[in-house]
Amino acid sequence: MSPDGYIRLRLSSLSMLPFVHLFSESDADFLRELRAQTVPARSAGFSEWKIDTNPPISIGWSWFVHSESDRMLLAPDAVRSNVMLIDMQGYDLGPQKTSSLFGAWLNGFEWQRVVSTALAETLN
Amino acid sequence: MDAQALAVADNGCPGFSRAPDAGTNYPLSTLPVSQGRLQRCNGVELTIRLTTMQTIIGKSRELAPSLNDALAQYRHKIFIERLGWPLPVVNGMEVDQFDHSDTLYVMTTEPDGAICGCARLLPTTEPYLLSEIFAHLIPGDMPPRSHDVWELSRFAAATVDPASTIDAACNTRSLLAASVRIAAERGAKRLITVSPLGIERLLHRMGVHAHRAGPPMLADGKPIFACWIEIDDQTLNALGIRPDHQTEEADEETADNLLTSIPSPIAGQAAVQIAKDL
Repeated sequence: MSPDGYIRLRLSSLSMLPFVHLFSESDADFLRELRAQTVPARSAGFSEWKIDTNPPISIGWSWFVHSESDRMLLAPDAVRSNVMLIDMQGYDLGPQKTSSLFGAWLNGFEWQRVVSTALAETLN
Repeated sequence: MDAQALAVADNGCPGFSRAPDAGTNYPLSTLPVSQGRLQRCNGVELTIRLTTMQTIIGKSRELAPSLNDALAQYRHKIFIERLGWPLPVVNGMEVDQFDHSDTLYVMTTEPDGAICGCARLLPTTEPYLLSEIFAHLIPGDMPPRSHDVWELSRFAAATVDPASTIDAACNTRSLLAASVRIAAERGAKRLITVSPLGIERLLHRMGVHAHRAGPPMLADGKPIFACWIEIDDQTLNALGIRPDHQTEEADEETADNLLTSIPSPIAGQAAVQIAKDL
């Protein structure tokens, strides 16, 4: 870990590391925010994951269920983490680019099933 | 700084009665009625803003006892009654071991003086909330201890009066801007805070450079995490703080027009701040 608290790594490294789901919850306040922005959301919340490296990598994001398609989607909101992605030369990509690339990376990862299961278990 | 600037204004510029009490009253622009720049007043360039909300900054020992009590009562209303946090209570007031004579507070107040926002700042070179209670939120249980890191805690920007017209987003931004500014003036380059997860989303939405220090954990069933707030160009720009730690103006008007229409700075709905541009 760097002195500024960021864990620096390349996005390509993430695919080799196992993500562990911590918890997922619905968030009524966030749902209200999305609806106020006219996002067609039936429900919304957040999901937290980590990778058991030392120090642990922490990544979280907001999701919403599209009211028409019933699909669970990444919310129009930043993916949040303690990671600073770096390029091939080792330069910081910056917080915004890091969040954006995480968003793109998550599109190739079937997190929705895990989150839906966790939410269903919470309701039971 | 502000007291000196007002004294300069008193010497030549109409519309102002007296300087505020030193060390306690820093009105900040949040919902500007009008604002502008006076090019020259007694040879000093001044920036004038009208506000409907005030910000108060000071250490506990600098604030009036009644204000300290009002702050503790406000914190009780928000953190205990409204949010349900299991916090220590003394005579109906929310105080803990980190509230002492040297604790630095930032408050926003309604035009009638009622508190509508609060924040607490502590240097990490002495015991603070994260170091003593929540060190496990930092990997390796190693909370920061540095002269350039301050802790921001008990942050709430919420009105108590249901009839309040204070805009919540403006209140939040003003409170955070004042907190960042005053911490930076005391040498902070970063803030650390223990917060509910929703705060992280709020900070990102505001454009503040904030990032988590480690994975969130559940406390009383609610996820909390340790969050870094970098006091860098990104954060300063997001909060409208110039590198010299003055807040920026949104609009500019001619100073002459402003001076003839400014009411008494302390009375009524408006409070006037004059910041000295050096």
